[in-house]
Amino acid sequence: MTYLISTRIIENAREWEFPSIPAAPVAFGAVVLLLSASLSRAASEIFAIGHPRAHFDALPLSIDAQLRAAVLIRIARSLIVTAVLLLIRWRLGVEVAGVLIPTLCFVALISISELLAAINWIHLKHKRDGLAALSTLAALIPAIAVSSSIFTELLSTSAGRWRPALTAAGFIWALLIYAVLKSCNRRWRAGDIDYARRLLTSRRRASLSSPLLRWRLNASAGAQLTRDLRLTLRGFSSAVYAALGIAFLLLASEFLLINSGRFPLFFKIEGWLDLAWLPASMAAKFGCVTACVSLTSILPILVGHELPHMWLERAAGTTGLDIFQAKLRYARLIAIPAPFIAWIVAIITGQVPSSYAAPLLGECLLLWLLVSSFIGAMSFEIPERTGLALLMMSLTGLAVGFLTAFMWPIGLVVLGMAGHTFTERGRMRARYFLLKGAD
Amino acid sequence: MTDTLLRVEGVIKRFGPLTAVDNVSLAVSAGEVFSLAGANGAGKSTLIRMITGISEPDSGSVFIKDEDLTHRLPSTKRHLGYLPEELVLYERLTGREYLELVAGLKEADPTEISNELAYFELAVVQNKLVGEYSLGMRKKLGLAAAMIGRAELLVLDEPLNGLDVEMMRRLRERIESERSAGRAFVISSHVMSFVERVSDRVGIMRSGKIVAEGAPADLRTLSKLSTAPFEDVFFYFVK
Repeated sequence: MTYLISTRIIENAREWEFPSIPAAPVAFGAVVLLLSASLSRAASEIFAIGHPRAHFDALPLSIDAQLRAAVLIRIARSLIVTAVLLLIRWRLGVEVAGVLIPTLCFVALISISELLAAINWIHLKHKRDGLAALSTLAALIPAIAVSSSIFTELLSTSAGRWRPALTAAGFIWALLIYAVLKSCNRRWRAGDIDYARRLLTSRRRASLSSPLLRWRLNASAGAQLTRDLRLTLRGFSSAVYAALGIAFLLLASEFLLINSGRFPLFFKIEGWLDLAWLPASMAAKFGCVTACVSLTSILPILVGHELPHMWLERAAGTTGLDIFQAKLRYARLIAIPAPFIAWIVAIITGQVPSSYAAPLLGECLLLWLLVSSFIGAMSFEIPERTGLALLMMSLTGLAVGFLTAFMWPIGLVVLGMAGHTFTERGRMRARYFLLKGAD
Repeated sequence: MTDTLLRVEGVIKRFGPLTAVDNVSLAVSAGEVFSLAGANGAGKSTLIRMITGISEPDSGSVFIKDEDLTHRLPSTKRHLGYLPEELVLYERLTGREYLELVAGLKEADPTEISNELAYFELAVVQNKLVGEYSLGMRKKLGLAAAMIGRAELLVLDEPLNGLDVEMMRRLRERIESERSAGRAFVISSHVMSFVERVSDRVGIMRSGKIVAEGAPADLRTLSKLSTAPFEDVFFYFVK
């Protein structure tokens, strides 16, 4: 799985170029986003909420031991993000060796900053200690400034003259705020730990009771769909993040491809109907298909995740039709953003004539319906072999999607002639799985 | 018998050379508590999995309200509530969300969820993720899930594991009140005092067979151990 994801990211990078947008504001935004988005996760890591490490508080260990573990975990997570960036630089032939040390500096600084922000966030909410919060903010502002500057260097293709100085400042500031973090942890950990546990484990309900989501589903299928969406929203597997990230990259590639004018013209444009083969239209449709496949690739992983729990469906007398319908609807719902985003991306480039905007949206929606339905219908083909199922479903989705992207009437014919057969097979496979899978 | 809820006829289950359940027959009527006792590996859980339709017998039949379970009709399974021994729960759902899923699968009245959460003292933690539950909380959640849907036959595999003394008493009271309402139970347990107190009949299993079956008092009479702990009665039959 990891290999497949990495390969796809690197393959996508081949066509990608560093955008000519101002890197500094993007870097600043990314750093602020990283800091704010990781508050709750970083707090969970410091206080070991929901982790076997929570028992270490009862062992005769130094109070810093838990903090050091949290720092290492945070650094490992940040390293993954930056490793992808380095991989893309390498793939594009942009200098990598020169940014290795600044990258490490960025990882250390951002990780410690995230933990410092998190521990203060918990303390502020618990004790309303405004003075401590202000002091932390004073320490974090330079950290944000330095880490944004280093991140700008990572986004740039050429070496800035301040790179060595920034790196040195980054390491020094990382050490300084680590000392502050250590001191905060020693003073506040015992007092804040129970509050953190209550705060981070409460308010977990995700409201997914919209009747629109369960439209034309019975109670059993509706309950399964709600469960599937809740598990996805809570990131039941890292594959959820990977699928989202890849879909984002694919749609970003669509934007860059259209703008670069590199997308080939497959057929000669002679009339209005030929606008379907306009490079921008084709790029939008390819973006839609690949993003749909990426998003629906969560489905076989979800089925694999649910296998040990299927005793519940078996004991409750759930029908094959119910579990099939739930998965089919899930596949369609999870992929629904793809056609709209792919279409919007094509429209904002200004390379799709306004007269073809609505038909293009129709084509994207047809592609979404086809790809997600075919992938959804294959949910129970080989549920026990997740990797193979992922490959088979993705290839089917891509094949049917690309074929329809070239010639949309083919999609209508496929949907009309094979759609019902495929759906019926999916239902029978689900039924067979329920009946025979237990032994 | 018109009030027979469960009928097991000559059921056999083999795993390779091992015969886990060997030609077992039994019947449980409405308003009756039937307990299965036996050492680990005696075949209790395998028998229970076949009773609930999760696993299929190699030969023999299981009937729920005279409907053959091998047809796997949803309507047949709606008569069942089940608590497995190895309770695998969704760690990333909250307790309430898990019960919502169960209620949806059983097409049960959603108002039962709050009642069961309150009965099993889970209301306070209903919005916590199941992954953060203790063993006892998980067992209580499993019991609440089994009770949802007003099933006529409840199959509880080791329901006492992880429960505190107070909750054990509450569970016993619940079983007694449900029995009065005409619901039947098949319970597998190692806690012999509980088995003796709550059961109308006990089936003692050894090597996949029921070697003794009857009311606890009758088993005492047969074993001539009228005052000894029920544990000794159990050992009398399995030795």
